[in-house]
Amino acid sequence: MLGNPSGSFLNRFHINHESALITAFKTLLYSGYFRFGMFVIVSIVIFAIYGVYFHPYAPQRIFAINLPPSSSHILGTNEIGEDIWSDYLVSILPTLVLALESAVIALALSVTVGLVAGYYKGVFSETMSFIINVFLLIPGLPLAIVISADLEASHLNISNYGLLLVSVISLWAFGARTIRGQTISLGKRNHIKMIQYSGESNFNILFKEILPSMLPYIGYILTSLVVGAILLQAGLLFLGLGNETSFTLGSMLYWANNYGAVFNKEWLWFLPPGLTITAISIGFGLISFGLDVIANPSLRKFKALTKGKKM
Amino acid sequence: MNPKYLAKKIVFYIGSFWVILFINFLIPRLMPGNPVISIIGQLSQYHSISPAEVKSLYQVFGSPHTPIYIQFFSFVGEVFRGNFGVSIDFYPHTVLYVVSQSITWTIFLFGIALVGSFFIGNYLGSKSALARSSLGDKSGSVVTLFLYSFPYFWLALMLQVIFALDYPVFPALNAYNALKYIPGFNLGFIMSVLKHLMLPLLTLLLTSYGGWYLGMRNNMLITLNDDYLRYGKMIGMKNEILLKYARRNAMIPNLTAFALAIGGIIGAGVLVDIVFSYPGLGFTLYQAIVGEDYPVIQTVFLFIIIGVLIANFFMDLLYAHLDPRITEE
Repeated sequence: MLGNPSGSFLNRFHINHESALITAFKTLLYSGYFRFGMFVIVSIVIFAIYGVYFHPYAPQRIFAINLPPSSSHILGTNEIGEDIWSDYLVSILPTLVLALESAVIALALSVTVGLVAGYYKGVFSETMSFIINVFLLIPGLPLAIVISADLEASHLNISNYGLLLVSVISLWAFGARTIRGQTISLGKRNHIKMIQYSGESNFNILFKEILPSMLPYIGYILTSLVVGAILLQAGLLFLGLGNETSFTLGSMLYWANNYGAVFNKEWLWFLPPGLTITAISIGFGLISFGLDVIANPSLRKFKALTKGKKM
Repeated sequence: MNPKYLAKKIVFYIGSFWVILFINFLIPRLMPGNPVISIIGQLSQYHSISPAEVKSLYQVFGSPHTPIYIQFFSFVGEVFRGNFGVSIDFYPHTVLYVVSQSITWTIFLFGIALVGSFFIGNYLGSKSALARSSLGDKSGSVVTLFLYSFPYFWLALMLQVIFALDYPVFPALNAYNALKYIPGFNLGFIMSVLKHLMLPLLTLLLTSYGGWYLGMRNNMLITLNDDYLRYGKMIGMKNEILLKYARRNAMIPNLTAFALAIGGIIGAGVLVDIVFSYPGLGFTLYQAIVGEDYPVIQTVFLFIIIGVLIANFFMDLLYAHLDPRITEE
């Protein structure tokens, strides 16, 4: 009986993804960028959750306008008469959640399209690759602006889902390109070829072999997408596209700018939301930078051409 | 150049152009209900609406009574004739007139920012890679990452507050002092344009050089491990000559990032235009959004993408010229 090739023989071609992941994670922890980014993000998340539960006033409660900072109003009140501190506290978590949701959905789309376009051959995957390349050419923010403006014209009341939709549409192609390139290069490797010859289904090869070995890339793409989403959404909300009445840092900036807070130097109104957006973006940026080093090992080992010599 | 490669690229860009035209056609038509009626309803509270304006609104959003394929043919016909209807806010000016007012400023600002950030990023990135793990490399990378993740409009606002309001070194708004100078070839006007350019340009450079920097740093680290460099080192070639080769080879893969970089700088540029009231396409887009001038919104978007397509086509040709290997697949 010949039967199918013995398991022990084929097992030699399966990569032990778990141990590879543990090694990758250990390397990651050595990365100062990663640790600092994680620290920033975890602190912001804790602060955001704190803010949702422990803001002193209901966010739209009206007090006297332009009160200076005091013990009852930590950041004072704005020109509408709202307590800035409460407004700020309740806005952080929704901003984070919206960006994360968009990034996760965009990631799912780009992984699916990228894997299919990279692994299969034929007209369908060629078309997919073409679509990825076209979407890469379209600048994200103008595309998002046009879609948001058209959504406003049709008076659709879909609150923040409009922002989520436009973020996904403008961001997915970036991830899809990376995944596609990586899938093409992995598909040519011998161990994948060997598994293909053994008659393993394409689905299993894609999701049990190729996908797990790309996890560092996927982490890198996810964090980059979060950065992209947070900047895009802040920009759109700042322009007044999207739901300005929602509690997000972007709409806080929109109102501050609309009431001339920058020119009137009402720092307390527009500095906290801006700095927080920046901190979130930098935190995720650092994490993605750390993950990039895992994904591209050539960035790690390095024999200097001019070791010891200053150029 | 390999004619097959050239043909492939031309086919790709013509195909992309049609897809983008189709997307531009489709997005407004996907909106539910009849947006034209609600827009007219809103605008007519402020001013009267002429039939030409109604017609150009229907050109954007499509009329529910015409079959979609006939709409597409007439849309394509109008685009190729350069007829984008009339502007709602600047009626009776045509959309093309409104957009052409701002396109020079955009090419001026984005062109300088794109080329400038490319050279600054590549130069600093290769420096950083060579001094790997030194204090300069680490602080350079951290500062770059920091600036790269900055929200553009936020940085623009901060620079505006610091350099235009607190310490008025540069003007805060507009592209030149329209009260004092008439556009033309005279020293006062040119100086005024350069002064007004500084803050928008600085914002764009600071937020966009990071992509090149990080890419170049990575490529350089990979290139420095290449065998030909080790060999050159072994046979005693001078470091400066080797580094020249390394730098050139490391820069080539960076060029493929141009599509993303152009997109990024345009995204940043739109917001920077708005913050500094710089009269480029971004500011026109913003005014059109505020004034619900949908024909202008769609046309600016189309122009931006066509510009990106043309820029990328030339980058692909340049890339093939620098690295002929890619044309022989």
